[in-house]
Amino acid sequence: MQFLIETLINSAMASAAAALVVVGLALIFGVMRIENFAHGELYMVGAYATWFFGTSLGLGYWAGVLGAIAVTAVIGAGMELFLFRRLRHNAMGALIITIGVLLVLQTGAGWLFGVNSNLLVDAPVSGAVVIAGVNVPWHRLVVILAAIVVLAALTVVLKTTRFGWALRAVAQDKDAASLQGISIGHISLMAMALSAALAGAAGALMAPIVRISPYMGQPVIITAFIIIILGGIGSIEGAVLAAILYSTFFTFVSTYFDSTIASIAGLCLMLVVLIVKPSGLMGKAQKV
Amino acid sequence: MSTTTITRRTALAAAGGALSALAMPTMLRAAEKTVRVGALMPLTGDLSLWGLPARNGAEVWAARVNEAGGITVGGESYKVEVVAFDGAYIAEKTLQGARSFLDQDVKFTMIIGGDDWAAMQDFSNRNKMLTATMYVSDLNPDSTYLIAPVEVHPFYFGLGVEYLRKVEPDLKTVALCAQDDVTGRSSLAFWRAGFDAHGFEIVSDAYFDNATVDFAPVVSAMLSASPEVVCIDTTYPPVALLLVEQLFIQGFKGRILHAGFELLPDMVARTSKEFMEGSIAFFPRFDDPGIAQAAVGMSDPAGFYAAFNAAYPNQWNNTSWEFPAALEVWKQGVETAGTFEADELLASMKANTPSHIFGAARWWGKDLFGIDNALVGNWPIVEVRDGQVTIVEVGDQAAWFDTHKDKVEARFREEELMPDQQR
Repeated sequence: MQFLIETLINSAMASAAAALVVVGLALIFGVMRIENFAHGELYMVGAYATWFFGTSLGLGYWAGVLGAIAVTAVIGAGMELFLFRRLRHNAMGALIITIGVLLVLQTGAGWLFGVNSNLLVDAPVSGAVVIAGVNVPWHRLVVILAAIVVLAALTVVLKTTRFGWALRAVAQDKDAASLQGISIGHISLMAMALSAALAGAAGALMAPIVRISPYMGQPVIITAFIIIILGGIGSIEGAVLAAILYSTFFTFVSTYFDSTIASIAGLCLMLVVLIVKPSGLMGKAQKV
Repeated sequence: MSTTTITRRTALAAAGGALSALAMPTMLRAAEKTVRVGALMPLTGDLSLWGLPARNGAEVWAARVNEAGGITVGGESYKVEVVAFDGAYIAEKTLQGARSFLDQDVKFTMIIGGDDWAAMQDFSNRNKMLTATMYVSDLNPDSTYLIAPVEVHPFYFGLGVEYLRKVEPDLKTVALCAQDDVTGRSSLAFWRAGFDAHGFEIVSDAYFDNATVDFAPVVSAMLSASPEVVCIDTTYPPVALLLVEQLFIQGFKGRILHAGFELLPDMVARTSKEFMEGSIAFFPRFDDPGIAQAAVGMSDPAGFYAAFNAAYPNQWNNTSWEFPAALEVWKQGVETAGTFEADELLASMKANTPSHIFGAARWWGKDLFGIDNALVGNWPIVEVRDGQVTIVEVGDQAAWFDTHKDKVEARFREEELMPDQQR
């Protein structure tokens, strides 16, 4: 029973971290129709920025998190302004640009911080709390709670603010939104900054738990794409649901069997969903 | 009749040249020829944690040897030059590095071993490229020009389990984990044989994917079997740190076994001195008071350690001394053989066994790998005491293997690592 509880808690944390990453990816696909392969590297930048502001400059963990959000938001806005804006009608060009950004960010991190991945970010609250006989580190609870707060805030912004309505309108129909006076450029810029900031926040929250290296974004982006395909590309609700389902499934399989089997089983799960419901769990079928 | 005019400038230049020649140390003038040795290492990526200190260690060794007059081969003195290539532990890049070394006439190549040797074995054979690995499991009947002159990883694991049994006679159960790659599989096979040999029951035994991000589930699975000992194999340094941290958080109380504890200071910082106390590994500190008695095959190990720290402050790692130790073996070999050519050198080294860093050794490997290219000597066992590793024993790896050969073979066969199972 204790083992089961422990696995459930690990699943909850994995779900929370995955949800933060994939929501940004789904958001940017919904608004800009761009598969951002550099999203994992924005997560990596978030972790490095947390180390830089929080540990290296000694400003503390939460200042590091804010620094990570700010840095990634600026990078995201820069990507939209200087790269994607010029390729709005060239999906393949934009995709190739994201791969270029991925390589630039990876190499940049290696150049700036070195490739030795022994940079450590200490959790803001050390120690663990005992839940049903299981030691749960405080920081894992912080990650779960932070993900809930961020996702709830995102929902409120998307559903109750003018920016949120405009963003959803652009996601539904760009031309109609433009005819209503919504600035596509402005919304795209904001969406990209928001998406990157979410990845940065995820990286910042996970920094005390994972190993920080220039290559830490790679497994994350692979998992993220599996999840958004499962959830339905461009669907934020689907992405969250799929993040929970996939992460729980992966954690249980890797705990009870092993993580190699879990990786294979995760891909099989994605294939099953694509066969049974090709648009994903909450995606809408598109007419061709 | 022509006349030669000596200007003041010409006279000054001539005087300067003559003075430089006179001031040049005799040894330096003697060692005019250069021989190249190559460090084909991961200098970027996660494994640069091994590659960079290894390359740096080789540089320091070469500087010290050159300072002492270089090496003498066939009556001629040579300076040693270290060339490096970032193989990044990627097959294509490793092979590219091997080609580059061939072009530069590198006479002795050093690699970490594992996946990088798999990439270059054929190339090495075709070009008679003498190479040293840290992984004895790289040896196979076709690895003609590969030697394991220092670390015969994972053979010292048996000594560690033997030591554990001696100091903890009542412990019964152990949990094991490793990353799912060549390194993880070969070393976990040896650990299993060690635990079989010394009466431990393996209650949990699993591989994890190399892309694993969160190690909490891996540790939860191990601890669910209530082990008294946890062995985290040869997990890569950053992974070992996260595993140790999880073991601490999830309340494990017992001894931890690992190949190297490269990030021990960070482990202590994230857990506690008390938690790490008694953990067992196999790589000594070179400022350990017992190092001079243990590393008898290396001239002035403490001096080497001081020189390394002066040249590369805070970068010392286990690999910092391993590659210099391999170079010491090669130096003995070429000086005795009187040649750098691989076939003659290998024959001479087999006939006149060089000293191993930890004392007398013998060529071995035919039983398990189909080729006697491993220089098996003694190896130290270290224990974490008050937050740092301390040499507690030096054991005979070959003797341990001879006693428990059947168990090792059985475990290697399970993983399809025996020579007759190689694909």
